[in-house]
Amino acid sequence: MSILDIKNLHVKIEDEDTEILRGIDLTVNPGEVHAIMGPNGSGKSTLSYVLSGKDDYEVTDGSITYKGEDLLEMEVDERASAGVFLAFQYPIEIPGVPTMTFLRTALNAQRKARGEEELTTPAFMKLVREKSQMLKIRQEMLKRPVNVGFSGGEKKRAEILQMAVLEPSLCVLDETDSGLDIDALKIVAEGVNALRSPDRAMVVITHYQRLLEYIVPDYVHVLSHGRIVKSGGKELALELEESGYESFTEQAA
Amino acid sequence: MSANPNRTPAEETFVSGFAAAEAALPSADWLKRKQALAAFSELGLPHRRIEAWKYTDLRNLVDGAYPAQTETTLVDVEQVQSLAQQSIFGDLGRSTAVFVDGRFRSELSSLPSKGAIELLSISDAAENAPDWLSNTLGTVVPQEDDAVSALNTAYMSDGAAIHITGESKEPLELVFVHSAGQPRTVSQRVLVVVDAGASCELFETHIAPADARYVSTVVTEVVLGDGATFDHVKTQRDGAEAVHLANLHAKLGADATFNSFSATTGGRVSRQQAFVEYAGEHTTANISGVYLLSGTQHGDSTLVVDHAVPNCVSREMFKLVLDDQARGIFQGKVMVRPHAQKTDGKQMAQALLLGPDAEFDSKPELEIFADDVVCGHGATAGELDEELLFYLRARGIPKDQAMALLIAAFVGEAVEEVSNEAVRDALNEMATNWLTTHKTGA
Amino acid sequence: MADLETIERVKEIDVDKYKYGFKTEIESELAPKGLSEDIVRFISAKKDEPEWMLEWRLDAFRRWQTMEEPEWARVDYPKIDFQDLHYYAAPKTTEGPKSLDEVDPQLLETYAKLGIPLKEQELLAGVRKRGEPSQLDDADAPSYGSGKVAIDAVFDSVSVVTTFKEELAKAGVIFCSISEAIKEHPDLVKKYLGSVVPKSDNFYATLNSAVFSDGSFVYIPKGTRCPMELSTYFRINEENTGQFERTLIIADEGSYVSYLEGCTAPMRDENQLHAAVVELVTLDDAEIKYSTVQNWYPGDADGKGGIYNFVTKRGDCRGKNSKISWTQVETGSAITWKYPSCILRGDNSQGEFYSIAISNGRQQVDSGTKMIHLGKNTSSRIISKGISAGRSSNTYRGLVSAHRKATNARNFTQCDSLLIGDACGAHTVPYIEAKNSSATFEHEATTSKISDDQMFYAQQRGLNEEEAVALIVNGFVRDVLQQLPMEFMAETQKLIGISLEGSVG
Repeated sequence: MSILDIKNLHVKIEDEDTEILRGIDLTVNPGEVHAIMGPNGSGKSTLSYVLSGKDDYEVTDGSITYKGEDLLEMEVDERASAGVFLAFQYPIEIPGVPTMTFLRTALNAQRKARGEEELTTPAFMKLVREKSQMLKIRQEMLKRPVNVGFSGGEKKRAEILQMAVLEPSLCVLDETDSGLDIDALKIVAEGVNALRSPDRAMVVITHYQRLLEYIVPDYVHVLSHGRIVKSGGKELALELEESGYESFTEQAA
Repeated sequence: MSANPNRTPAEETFVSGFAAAEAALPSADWLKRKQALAAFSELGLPHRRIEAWKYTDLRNLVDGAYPAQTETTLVDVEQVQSLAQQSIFGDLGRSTAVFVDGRFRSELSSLPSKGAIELLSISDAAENAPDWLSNTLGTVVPQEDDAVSALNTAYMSDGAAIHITGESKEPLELVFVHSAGQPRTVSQRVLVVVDAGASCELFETHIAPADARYVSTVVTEVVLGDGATFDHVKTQRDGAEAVHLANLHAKLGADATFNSFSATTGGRVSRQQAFVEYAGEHTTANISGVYLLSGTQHGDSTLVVDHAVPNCVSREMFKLVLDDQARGIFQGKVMVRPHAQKTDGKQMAQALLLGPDAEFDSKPELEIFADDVVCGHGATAGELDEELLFYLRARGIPKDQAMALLIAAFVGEAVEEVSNEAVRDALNEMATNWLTTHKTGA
Repeated sequence: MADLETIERVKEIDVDKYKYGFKTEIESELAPKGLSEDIVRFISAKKDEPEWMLEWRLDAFRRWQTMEEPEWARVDYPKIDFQDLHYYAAPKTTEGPKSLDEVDPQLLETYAKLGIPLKEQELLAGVRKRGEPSQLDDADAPSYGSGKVAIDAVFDSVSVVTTFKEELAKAGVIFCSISEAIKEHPDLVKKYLGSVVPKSDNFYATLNSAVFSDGSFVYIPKGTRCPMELSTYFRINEENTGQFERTLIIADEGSYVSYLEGCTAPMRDENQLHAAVVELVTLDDAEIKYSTVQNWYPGDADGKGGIYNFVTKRGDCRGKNSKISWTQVETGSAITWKYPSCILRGDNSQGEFYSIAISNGRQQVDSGTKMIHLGKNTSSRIISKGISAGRSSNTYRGLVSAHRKATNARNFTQCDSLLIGDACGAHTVPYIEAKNSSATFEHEATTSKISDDQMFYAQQRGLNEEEAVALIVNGFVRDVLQQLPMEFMAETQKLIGISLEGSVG
């Protein structure tokens, strides 16, 4: 069974008329990494928000099936507990909530929703310590409020740390490479690659081919004007790098 | 005496009921009840045309007669104990003084062993009061122009007089319990005298069953000697029908530290006023508070910080979370008198509006007559940030839990001002649980 | 550079620091002292008003008699004897001037001293050609900063001259004295007069409604961008005179106008009362930008004399997407009592208030704004900079209120006070009322003195104390200065330096 099955998805912003996604079809199987590339305004971030269930977006047609269930019927936190994880393009700052408290609350809420026992504090601490070492995240950072005072690179690493701790089935990475220098990019990519497994799938959304040198996709899709205009293997990313988006976007218009 | 011919039933009861009540109240000249009653009959209950009471119209809000409580009530000891046990300070090692319906109950209290703390029931001590009590009580309160203080002084039935002569190791908690019964007014007084160099940690709990109908007036006078330290944490969890009127008057010596925090979740109407006056230099006062209100609750915090001398610091930090049709009010005045140079005064009041019809009124005020000062205030009002909520939910945290987390984070900045870590934890827990508690009516 | 100019100007001033403190020797026609129905009738008759206007005034007068002077402001002055004032004063020679030729040359000289470009020969020529389409107007018009400015000059109680009328008329803009508007455009006046500030709004506004003598009237038609800045100069000259002018500006759908107002008065030992009312109305998509530089005589160093400036200014964003912006520079008057406000009635409407209030000597300022959010998605912005020096008192008093149905109301308020010297007071009294949860209000206020480090730095670079203060204060008020039309900016910077003269050392 596929992890994610998107059929003829049409999406617009509430109270507005223009469709942003105009008929997306996409099937993602366990173990696969799909890259979605496209110019600004092609609908990339909208796709990630619709997958995670943000308000303000209205699905006017089509369906999203996640592990055989209707994803669109699920609340934001239900999706998360079912294993859908969005690594935000702009991770938000939450003053007053320490990162550790946040992580523990999230993990235990998800475990509870799945009918699993809550993790004890020592077991949780051990888990976080392991994962954060891999991502070169200092313990001091975890005591600070979520993302508050973090640099751009630190925020992205913290997102991947959350992904590592929460162990989702479907990881959606929204422009995780934006704002990262090459060293930070490598660390983030390593963290992501470590999470690749036969029963987990990833959708990597990006503007540039650069990220895909480090997170090598199985499939590449080109998104333009709300439609997937071309799909192929990882070589498609290189092709795009050379010819630019223009040759593809013309087909879509 | 009859300056106000159009008295409300509440006012009329207060003025005309005194003659009958007086005999049952503790008696001593230094209590100055008659002068206070005269002042109250002139003033009446404050109303919205009095600028300081613009947002809290007591003539309107104190609906009907609330005769003064004078007698000791027969109470269900188990009920009182179960209420007292809900104190958030319960897990802390502390001695307690329990007051039920306006009277001290020694059998329910565990008083501090004689040492640096002397605690007296004002009622018990009235006839043979030590000088520190009879000479101080009423001197910090300007009762001529404050109706609540005047009413309290006229009718106080009991209260705690506390004298700290050294460093008190153990915190002290005052527990004010009210029982269900006929509508009534309960007036109690607290006097805290902290000698030079001494320190005091005082907790205060107000608690009652949801259906108890009463007006509770509490006037607290604090006198800090030079170098004294006072840490005060109050939880106001009065019943849902109660009117809570509290005045805190503090006079601070030099090099003193005054910290007062209040958490308010109770009462139909509450108005908590703090008046802080600096009498010596290099003193710091920190007043903070959290209001968690729902339904049609009305909560008002009014502060006047009077920098009468140079080189002092004041900090105020208030956080209000308002659900349903709740109304929160913050008025804070920072005065810097001529020559009070090098004053450093900062104030912040922030409201989180959860219910669509919640209301926040704020009047932060600066009145400054010295130039070498750094003063400022801020006030904000806004909804819960949807983006934050989405982020938390996208990590699998259910909506109610996510909101509770954000509420606790919002008020956390004020709770941080409490120095005792165990108390901070208890307050954070109270804030985190508040949403579910009030939603489920638990 | 501007700051150095300021210093120069300060040095030019002799003992008499008030630059505009001269008196114009002009024969005036005065109404007898005192206020009664007869005086109200006298004023109305003098202006040859229609019956409905007289009735309006009389109604206001009757209401005023039942009202009491407000006492809530932080200002202190002896009780005003309202029967000891003249309620009408007009320069004798100006009964209906047909051209500037007919205007008393002394009066023109007065305006010349005030720096009003009215004095120019070119303009005189322009007036002479009144009624004719004139090329000269366009070619030789006095340039005042970047663009042209049409002026309505009000001397004591009457409007003496309005310039550029023809050119404005071409654009369909009506710009005239309110007396003229009552006669020429009664429908507009009837519809809008008192619709923003009701005739019994407050004590002073009601008094104004009864006895207002003149003022400006502006109507900008639909879709019109007013081709030039409009401006009024007010001048109180006569002794024991109250000045009660009334301004009404209507911006019809999709129109825009920028309006400037300047005020001066001679030095006199007695206090003079100025109780004006300004009403602004913007319909859908319209915008009014109203700027004031108020430099009435502030009284002497001991607090003797000076203008009592009790003014009611209010704008009504009646239409959706409309905008009203108030900018004020208050340096004069013995007492200022003034709260230019915005009623944000139309959905998506915007209100702004930018203020510099400087008090020195014994001046008392109690000023601020009200932003009343009624419509949906309305926003407002308040930037107030108060500077107190000498023995003055300077209070910011403001209200920001979002009503129940005003969803998504937004406000940002920044109130800063600067103290110069230890004998003055600076007070901040904001009222913030959010009556629905979608309101987002942010209010911030600070009070401080000029930092010693800044002073030291400036002085180390060679500025003397006074120069350093002028420099730093101009930096402090920068956010507001930038809101002023170019024409006023340089002048205001100078004025700030002059106003603070003698505040240090």
